[in-house]
Amino acid sequence: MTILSTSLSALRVSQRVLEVTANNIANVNTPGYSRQRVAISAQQPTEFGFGFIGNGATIAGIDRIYDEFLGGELTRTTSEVGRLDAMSNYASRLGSLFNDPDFGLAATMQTFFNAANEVSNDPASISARENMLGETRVVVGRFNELASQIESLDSEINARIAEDVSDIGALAEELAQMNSRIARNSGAGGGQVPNDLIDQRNELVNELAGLVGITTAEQEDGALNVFLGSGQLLVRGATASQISTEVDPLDSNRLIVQLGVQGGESDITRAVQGGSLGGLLEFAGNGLSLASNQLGRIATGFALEVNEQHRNGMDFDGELGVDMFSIADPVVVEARTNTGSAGVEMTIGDLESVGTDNFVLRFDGVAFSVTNESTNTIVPFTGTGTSADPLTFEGLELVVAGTPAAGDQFSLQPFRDAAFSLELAISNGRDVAAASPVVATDNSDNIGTGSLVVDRVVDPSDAGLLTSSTIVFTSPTAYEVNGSGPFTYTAGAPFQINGVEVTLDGTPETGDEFTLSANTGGIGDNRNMLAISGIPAQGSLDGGRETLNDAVTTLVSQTGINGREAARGLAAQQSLLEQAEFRVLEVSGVNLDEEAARLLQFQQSYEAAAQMIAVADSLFATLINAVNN
Amino acid sequence: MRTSTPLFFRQSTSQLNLLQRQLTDTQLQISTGRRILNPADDPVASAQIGSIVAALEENEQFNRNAVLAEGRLSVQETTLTDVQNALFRLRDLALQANNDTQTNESRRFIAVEAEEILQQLVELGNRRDGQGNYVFAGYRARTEPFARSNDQVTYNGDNGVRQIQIGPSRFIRDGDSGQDVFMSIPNGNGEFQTNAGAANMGTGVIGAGSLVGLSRWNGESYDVRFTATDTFEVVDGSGTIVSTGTFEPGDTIDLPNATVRIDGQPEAGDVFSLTPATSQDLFATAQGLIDAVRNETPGAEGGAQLNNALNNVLTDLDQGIGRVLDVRASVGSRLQVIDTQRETNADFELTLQTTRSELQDVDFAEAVSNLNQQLTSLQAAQQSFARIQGLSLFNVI
Repeated sequence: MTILSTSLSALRVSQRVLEVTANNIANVNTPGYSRQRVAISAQQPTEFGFGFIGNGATIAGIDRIYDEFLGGELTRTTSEVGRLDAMSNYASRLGSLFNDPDFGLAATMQTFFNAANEVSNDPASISARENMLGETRVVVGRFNELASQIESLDSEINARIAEDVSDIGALAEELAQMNSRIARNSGAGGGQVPNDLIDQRNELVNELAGLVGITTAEQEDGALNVFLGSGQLLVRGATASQISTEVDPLDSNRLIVQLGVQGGESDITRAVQGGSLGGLLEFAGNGLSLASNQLGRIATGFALEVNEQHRNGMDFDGELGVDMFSIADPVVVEARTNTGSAGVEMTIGDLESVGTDNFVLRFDGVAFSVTNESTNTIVPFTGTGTSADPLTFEGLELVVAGTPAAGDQFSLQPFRDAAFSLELAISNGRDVAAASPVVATDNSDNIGTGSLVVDRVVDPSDAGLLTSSTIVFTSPTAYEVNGSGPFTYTAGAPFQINGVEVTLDGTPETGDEFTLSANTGGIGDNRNMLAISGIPAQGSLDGGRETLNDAVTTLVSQTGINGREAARGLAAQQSLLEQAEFRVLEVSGVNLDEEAARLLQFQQSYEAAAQMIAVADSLFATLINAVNN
Repeated sequence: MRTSTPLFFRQSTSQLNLLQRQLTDTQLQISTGRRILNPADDPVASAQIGSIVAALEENEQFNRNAVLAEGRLSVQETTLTDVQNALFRLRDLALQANNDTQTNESRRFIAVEAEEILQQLVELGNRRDGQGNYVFAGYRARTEPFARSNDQVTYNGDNGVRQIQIGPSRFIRDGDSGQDVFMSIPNGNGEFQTNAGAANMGTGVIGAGSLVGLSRWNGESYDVRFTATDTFEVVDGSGTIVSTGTFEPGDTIDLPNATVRIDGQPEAGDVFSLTPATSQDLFATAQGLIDAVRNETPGAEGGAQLNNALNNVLTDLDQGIGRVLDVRASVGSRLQVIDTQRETNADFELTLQTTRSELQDVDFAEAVSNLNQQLTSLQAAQQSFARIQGLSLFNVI
């Protein structure tokens, strides 16, 4: 009675198909679920003399409808989106730190110079001087605040790096377990793969790809091996490698990523690419430290320029000006791994030549070498490292004390703490040095039209600065200074007396006298404050080509552009990711209408098969009846 | 192409999301009036706006500085007008006193008025501005610049002059020192001074003289000695006789590089001297007038002494008036410069504001038209979604 067994096989097949359809419908909204199809084939037919009669249908397997290439694309774009999402989040936050048009750094610094202008308008006014100190505190506060916001971004990034690494470790562990389940089930299923577990493992892989860039390779037993960046093995079959973070030995503010390998741990920080971890490491090592250095460089330029000019002045009480700001020295970090006794001190020799990069000083046992950390290139230097002959490169000077051992390293960070440490060093408006310490006087009995002008104080520490000097013309073309000379007179040519640069102009006559003397009682003098208000227009940085305002504009637009680039890249990558998801859904997603049609189709075939059994039954009954009769 | 049920929902929500985001952005642009909502939208423009805000603040500061400089210069201008009027009055008094019809008594009244004016000049020199700073003290803003004692006025200020910045590269002096205005004024004709000897017995009156063939006096001194009523010799500083000549009243006498006119009749032995000009303060000039009119030497030689002294006072006053006029002219031109600079600053401000507006303000016509378009798109998307999602085979089986 093959009719009966054939009908039974039809019933069985239809029932299985209906079950798979029900499973498809049930998982219509399950993330990562790939629709399943029952592969049906005809059973081996039975040979009769006249030919073959089929033996009904059988289930060849349950197929998971999935395109490996689309899946790979999805994994790759997920990594890229993870990377750009992390970058863009922090880059745009960093950008908007600086890029508030109404409260920007440029406008804030301008309020300081405006306040300096107010003092130069009325230097005798204590309230104008106090107001200047108040405005200065605002500027200093702005630098400190920006620095501490960068700092808190930095520590947030470090926290996220640690979190990502621990998530990666957990996912690697889960993947390893999933691998072992899949291998076990495949064995039990006689080579048939457990579709739903494969889907779940794919979900894990995509989740991992969002955290870090990976490549995968499937083993014969169905287990999936996972590699990081440039081939470091994270998951191998049923075992996962240990991944962890450690403080950078060269920079306590940085973290490095380590992977457990045979016989220890290896630093894979530079190998990590993609995913949110890759994005975070990239941003922390590049965008953030660049912005922090640039901010520090501006703060240093601002403080040093104002200090230098302020020291050239005289305050309300007739005292020479002191530093207006205090600011931290450049930072040198000794590597924890150093074995020598050497200590390194770094100073800024020539601010105009110092850029925004950090450097590493290495000792190979014979000689020092300096490497630019951003470009990873060797920087040439001069000098031997003694205080008389410091190691000098790019405007920085290093003095090495003690004895270094081979392999010792020092991280050189010229501007790391500058903006954070900037502080107002004077607290009383009377200490604002608005005046110049010296005045030039043309003797009132002079007959000629000559006039002596103080250009600037060149050396405020000159011992004779406040001593009176007299210039007497012995002829219309020659003069004596304090009885020495004669010197040839050139109208308008500056010369120096006791650390002061002066200019004589006009047509002096024989016997004309000019005096350079201490500025006694000159509280209405504003020459030094005018010089301070002129600082923004000076090229203070980059070989005199860059003003402080230029540097601020560069910082603001650079961080802004970085933020926008990351945001644009993210938007583009998100749309690629969406397309990849759509394509996967296109192939693997469940369509309810399709399933409804299949439901009807196999409901009918089930009914037909059942009908066949009824027919077989009636055939059988007919036969029995015929025999009975 | 095959569509799966989750794909349909994902695509629809993704599209609705996008439309809603665009709509929110446009709505924000319209309600804030700004094109750039987030600096990251246009970082370069934002950085430019930052620089523009700083430049606007600097420009505003220059205008405040200009207002202050203008105020100070106006105070000085008013004071200088008063000084000038005082000097004019002194000059009138000197001319009056020089008139032969005056008696000793009427000259005493002149001395009293001159004394008043001298006091007034000292007070003008000690004038303060609105901030309480002395206008003519130079850098010593809080030191009273002029002090009078024993008929002498001393200057306690210095010759410093404050510069005020009123434009990116424009500085203006917000005043002049007392040294320049009151103190260091050359006497005589500005190059040399002529004097009649104190012991002269004749009625000779010497004029101020003028340079010949020189633009500046060479610093030499000469004496014109009358050897008789009609002959004289010219002696230089070292006592050498340079030339001799004959004289009649009203003659112009030639000296090396100078001529002087002598009126009246000198006696033999009378001496007239020519010395390089020295600087003299206005107060000393006024004091010279007072001393001259108080001198009551009788007789014709007394009249000649008075004439000679008053002639000197008049030339000195003219020098002083000339100086005050020069300073006033300079103040006037500085006020003019301030006006011009303020216009320049206003133009610059307008340019900056316009640039800022172009960079950051939204084009409303465009934004509103965008808003309408986006509203239509969103409505259409919502309606089509609502209709399509209702279609399912399960509804009909």
